[in-house]
Amino acid sequence: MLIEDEILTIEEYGEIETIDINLDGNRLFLANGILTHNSAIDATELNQSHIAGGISKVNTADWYLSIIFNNSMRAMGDIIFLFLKSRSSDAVGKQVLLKWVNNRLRITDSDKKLQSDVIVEQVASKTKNKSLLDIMDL
Amino acid sequence: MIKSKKQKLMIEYLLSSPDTYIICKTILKAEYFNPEYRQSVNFIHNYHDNYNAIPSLDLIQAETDMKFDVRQVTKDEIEYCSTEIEKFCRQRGCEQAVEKASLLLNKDQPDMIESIIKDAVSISLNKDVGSDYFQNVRSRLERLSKEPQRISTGWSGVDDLLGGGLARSELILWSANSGGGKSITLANLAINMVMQKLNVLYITLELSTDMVEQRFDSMFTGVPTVNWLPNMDKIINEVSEIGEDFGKLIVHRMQTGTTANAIRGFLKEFELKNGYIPDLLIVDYLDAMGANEHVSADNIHEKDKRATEQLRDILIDYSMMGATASQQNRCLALNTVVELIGGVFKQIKDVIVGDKLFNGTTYNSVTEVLPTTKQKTYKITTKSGKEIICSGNHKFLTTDNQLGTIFDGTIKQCTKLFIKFKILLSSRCNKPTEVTNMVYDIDWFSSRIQIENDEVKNQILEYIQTKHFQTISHYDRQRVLKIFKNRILGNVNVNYDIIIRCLSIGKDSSSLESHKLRFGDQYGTKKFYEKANACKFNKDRFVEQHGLEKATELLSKRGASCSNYIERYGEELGNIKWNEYKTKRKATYQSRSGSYEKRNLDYFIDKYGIDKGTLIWKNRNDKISYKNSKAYVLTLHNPNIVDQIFYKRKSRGLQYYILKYGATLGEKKHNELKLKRILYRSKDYLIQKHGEEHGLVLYNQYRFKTKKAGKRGSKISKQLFDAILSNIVDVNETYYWSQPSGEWRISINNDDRQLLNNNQQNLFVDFKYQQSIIEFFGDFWHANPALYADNDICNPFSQLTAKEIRESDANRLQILQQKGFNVLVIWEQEFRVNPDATITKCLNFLGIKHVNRR
Repeated sequence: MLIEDEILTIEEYGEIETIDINLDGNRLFLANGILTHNSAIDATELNQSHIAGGISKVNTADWYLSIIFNNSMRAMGDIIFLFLKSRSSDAVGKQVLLKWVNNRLRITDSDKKLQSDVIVEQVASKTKNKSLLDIMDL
Repeated sequence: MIKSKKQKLMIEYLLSSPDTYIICKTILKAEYFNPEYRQSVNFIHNYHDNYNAIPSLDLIQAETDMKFDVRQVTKDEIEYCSTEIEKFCRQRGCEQAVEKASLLLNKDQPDMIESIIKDAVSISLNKDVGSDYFQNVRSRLERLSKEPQRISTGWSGVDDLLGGGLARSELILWSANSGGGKSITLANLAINMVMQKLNVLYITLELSTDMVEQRFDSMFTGVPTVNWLPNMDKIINEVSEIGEDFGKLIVHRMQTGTTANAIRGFLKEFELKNGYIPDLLIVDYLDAMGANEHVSADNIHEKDKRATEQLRDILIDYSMMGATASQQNRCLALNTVVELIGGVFKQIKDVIVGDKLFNGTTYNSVTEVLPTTKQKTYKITTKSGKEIICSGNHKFLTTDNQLGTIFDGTIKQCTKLFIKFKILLSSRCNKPTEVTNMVYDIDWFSSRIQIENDEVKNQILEYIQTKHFQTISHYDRQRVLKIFKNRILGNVNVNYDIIIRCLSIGKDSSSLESHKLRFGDQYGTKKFYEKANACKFNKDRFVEQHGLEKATELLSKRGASCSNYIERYGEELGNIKWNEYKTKRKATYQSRSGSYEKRNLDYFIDKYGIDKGTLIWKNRNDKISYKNSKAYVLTLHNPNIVDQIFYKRKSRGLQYYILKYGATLGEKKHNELKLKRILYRSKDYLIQKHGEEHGLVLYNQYRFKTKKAGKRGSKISKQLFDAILSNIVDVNETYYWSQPSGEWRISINNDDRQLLNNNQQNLFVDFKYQQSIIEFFGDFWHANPALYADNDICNPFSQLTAKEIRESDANRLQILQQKGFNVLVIWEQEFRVNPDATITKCLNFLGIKHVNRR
């Protein structure tokens, strides 16, 4: 049974060891009794705010790409760069699928093709406000 | 040093041409001029600031006593003048900077020198008037077309989106989860660039040089890093072969926390040694870099911002491409508690892949657990007391059906979150992070109180969602729920006011009143009497067990004694019970008072053997005596109280009574007690009380206990006097300090007291027989003239010289002689050397025949 609860305070706590987990399904779980979302980053919902320490680094960099690369992708030989900031092109939100060569540790151009239209749609849908039901259905 | 005349000329140029002045104003400082001109320059500056014009010559002369002439400055001359003034300012600036730098060097602040010199050297007039966009189109584009604008990254897909590739002075930033391929991506980029014959400098702040180079080995040759040893020759051949066709690839390891300044320094050295500048600078990775300035360790945001900006400045200065990487994560503290399937609770650090986590309605399984990282966190507290420690970009589901983080501002004060309602049934688990297995939900609760009735269950569920229930403490919740259940079972209407009153009764929950409140009047009284009847020691139970007669008899003899027990249980059982009771009592008494047996030396020897026992006993005594000492007591209490305690313990002197009863009453009490003590220890009183024989013994005991009686004479004098005494028949006529009849004293008047310089009422003598007195003088105390010179201080306690001591003794003898006594002085030394002769000498003096030779 979930009920609403108001936040009383948010205070800085200092630097401590932290951990990420990644879930399937709607990616929601209860942490200390509070409903929270997937800790680790997932490809479908990355944005600039996910960089550690906040957005200050992104402000200065000319290009900001996020690497999407997990164990299953490693096995498949895929690695994706997601453009999150650009100064002089319309690349933001676009992904590049590259080939991961595991024994050589090399990243090369991939033969596979990403369906870029689908990606654009996906990214666009993230920017809209979603209802809880939508998130549950994901 | 520039000549004074030229300096004057400069100022005259400035005064003559307002245009020159305005151009040069920004770099012109009064301190560049000789002291005599400084006031004038300052005046011109101020005047121009205020009135936007140059002061007239008369005005300057009036203000500063300096005379300048006006010259004709043509338009062509303005440029000459301004360059002259620029040169002059730069030169003077440098001179002063060098002076300052040497001062700084002495002060041990060499960091500042660089900037000071740099500023001085860069003093110049700003002649760049910007670029005219419309006029310079051709030249701009032609300049750009000469150098390749964008350099391919080696990945065509990425190049497309980058607009052709990376440009110089640009910084590209990758981010990934920890272990998510940051270093590998950077290394791949390095190789792609090197293959285009570009020079790459790879600065690693995390991995060692060897490790990075092994990765390169693997990338070039295809040999996995683990198998390098068997394939050594292959690697050597292949890498040295391809090295000739490619650009340079330099790997340099720097410490974690390296600043942009350190990288700048390394680049300078690099340039000097190698004669070229790398085309691409890779820093692996950004989070490990520090800022040039000291930034507080907590403020990662600021540190990262500065480090990134400073890194970018380097790229622009050297016209290099830059690539770096950073962590990305949204994290929770390690001790965060998550709920698994089946109501099991785990700390998040113990979660493994495949665990199913509960989200309030369904379960999601964990697909990935990422390594831990250290980062800045925030603590969120909700109204119901729930706490969570998370990073600024951890996402929460708000009641507006949005996913928000602290960083993007969606999660702030007063935002409403979803929480799972839990009942904490222990006062110990106030912190959610500590609860783990102590958290129970409603299902658990309903199973625990075994409610079969759905209506009751619903009523309870309804209640625990009310605000009242959520505001009370966890411990009270447990009690409230019990009360609630009881009221429902007792068919009493639920009224929250009554529940609050129940809580206020608190500990007195076994009273009739509390029962009535909790269960209603009827059910409560019934319950109370049920409970009272169940009590073990109750008259009715006795009657039931033993019959009326015996019960009354037993109840009249309720005391715990051996006879009572025997009477109650028979001889055998009674004894056993009594012994049980005794040991029980003893144990409780022991535990209460600490020691039951007498802890003397025998006890310890019995327990530990002779050696160890005596040691322990000694240590214990030391400890006790230390604990009784004033020094120790002073450490525990303040001095006033210590005085009280101490006087109580040691002696009941006047001071103690004054402390206890105040000045007047204390003195009175003290005197009373003194008189009482004298009375109780008087000869008459003791003989009257204890009979003649025992009374005298006691009296002597008391007398020798007092200090005065015991310590009047020395042991050696006792030998002498005892020997004399053995010759005397008429013992009652003799007085001597060690004798039961007591010492003899004579009272003295004021004049004598003054003579003796003493406040004593009486004069004590060592030995008296009839009208003769023998004084035994110790060598040390009375300063034997045979042993001590006049000026010696033989007695350290009195600080008197030997002469003074002898004088006072002589006075004393004089007084005694005046009173009509014959006085003989025996010196200790005399007696020690020849005891027999001394004794006969004494006996002769006393006029006694020598009867019993010693």
